[in-house]
Amino acid sequence: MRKKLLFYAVMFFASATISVSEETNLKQVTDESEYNRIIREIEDKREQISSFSSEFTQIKTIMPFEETEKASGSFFYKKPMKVVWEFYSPEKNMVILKDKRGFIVTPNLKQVQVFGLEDNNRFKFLLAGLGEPISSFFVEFDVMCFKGGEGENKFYLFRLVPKDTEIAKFMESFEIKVRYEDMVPSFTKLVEKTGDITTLTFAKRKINPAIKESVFEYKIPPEYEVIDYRE
Amino acid sequence: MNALRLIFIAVISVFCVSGCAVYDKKGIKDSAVKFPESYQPPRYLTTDELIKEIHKNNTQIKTFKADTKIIFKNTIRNAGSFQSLGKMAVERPYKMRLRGYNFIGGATFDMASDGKTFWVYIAQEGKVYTGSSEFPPKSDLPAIKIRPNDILESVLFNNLVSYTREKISFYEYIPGYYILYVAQKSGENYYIRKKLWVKDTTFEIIRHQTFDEKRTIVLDVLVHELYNFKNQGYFPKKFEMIRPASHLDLVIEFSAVEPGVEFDDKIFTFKIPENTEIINLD
Repeated sequence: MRKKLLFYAVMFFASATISVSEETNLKQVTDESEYNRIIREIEDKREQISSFSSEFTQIKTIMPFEETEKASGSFFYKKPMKVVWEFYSPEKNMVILKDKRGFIVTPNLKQVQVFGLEDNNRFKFLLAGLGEPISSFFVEFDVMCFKGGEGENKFYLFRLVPKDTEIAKFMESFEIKVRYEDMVPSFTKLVEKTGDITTLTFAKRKINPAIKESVFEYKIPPEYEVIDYRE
Repeated sequence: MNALRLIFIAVISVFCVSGCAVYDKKGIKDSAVKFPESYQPPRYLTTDELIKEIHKNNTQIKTFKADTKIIFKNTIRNAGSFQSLGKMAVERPYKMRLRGYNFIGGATFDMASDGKTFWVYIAQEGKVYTGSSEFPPKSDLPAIKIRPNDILESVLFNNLVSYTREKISFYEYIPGYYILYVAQKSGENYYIRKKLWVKDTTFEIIRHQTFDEKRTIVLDVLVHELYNFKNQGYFPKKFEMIRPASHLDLVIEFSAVEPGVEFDDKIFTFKIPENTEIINLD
């Protein structure tokens, strides 16, 4: 079961945080001190973030069919460890992290999966770059850093290849794009072992917006099936 | 006492007869019962004629592509359920590809059969189960609960075609439905291999069961909704397949169904990713 949760966690983060490999004019950061400075800049900015909200668009290419599917929704984060990741289309689904617990809500099945964040540390990667340093996520990967764009469009791109055998079983690689203006992940690209490619773009991003506590409140409907992985 | 009984019977009989007469005099006749215009009363069919109609109306689609929504339920109480979206390609009789994915969590599984070999890849385990395509499988190994041919059998009725050609068949009729039995010889005796419920007016298959030689159910399929493709017959829109031995209850719903697609054979062959554990079930 832990393996299943790890799978969800990594896939969720990967699809939640990246998409840019087609970017041209990328310059690889090979100097270690420069790399460390970039990581430090991202971390300094992260420490100033108490809340974050965004809309997102996810495009998934299913192989070998080479067909794409689109999904959209919203993302909310509030310090220290509250996350709501909600899909509006094509189906309503939701992931909530709160009070050291995680919930995966599937209304179509009338089902909630509950897991403990302490029991499954890897779920904290959902907070990478927000509630947790982005570098803590990089430990599991071989990382290449690139810089590109100019002026307002300046960005950093991290290309990650898993070195952990568990993650490498299902993930080929993923990329995270961080815009220089706010140092928060803005685009991700995930390549799975199946050949599926998932890109995710964050739009209408707001740093430190006022987010009501009620956004993170969720009461499990009595008719829902509850699968509690903590038991 | 006997005289009293006779009088009582006579009174009741007169009452009943007169009552019926009154009923008739009110003018209620058979013609007052209205049937839908599309309704055609069932005609008597021989078993061969029934099988021919079933084939004609259910097995004409040779290839199709579709989007799927699949709900896996474990029939053991409180064991939970799991949902996956999917893309499916099928070529009769035994070629199939079904790719499962979710928007949260990525790829779930990949299922393929090139007609001789099948592969079932479980993404989160990094494992691929493989073996020969055969229905029903020689053994119900717990390592894998469903194989491509289980799904093909549920959708295409492949074995219905071969069984009814080679085996002994007979049917019974209940109002609205034919129930077709396909029997197979085992030793000195015959046992029921297939049982199908078929609508008497349209010949849609609404349920079919497959039994093994021990007379236990291998597969129970209930068709909830159907597409009707002109000149190509019926095709399940939503169906439920139950494999009691695996404690598996699977609901598959198709959308964007496209019949008559020409596929490159590559789509039915699974390319095993690096670092994947291979488990041969033969």
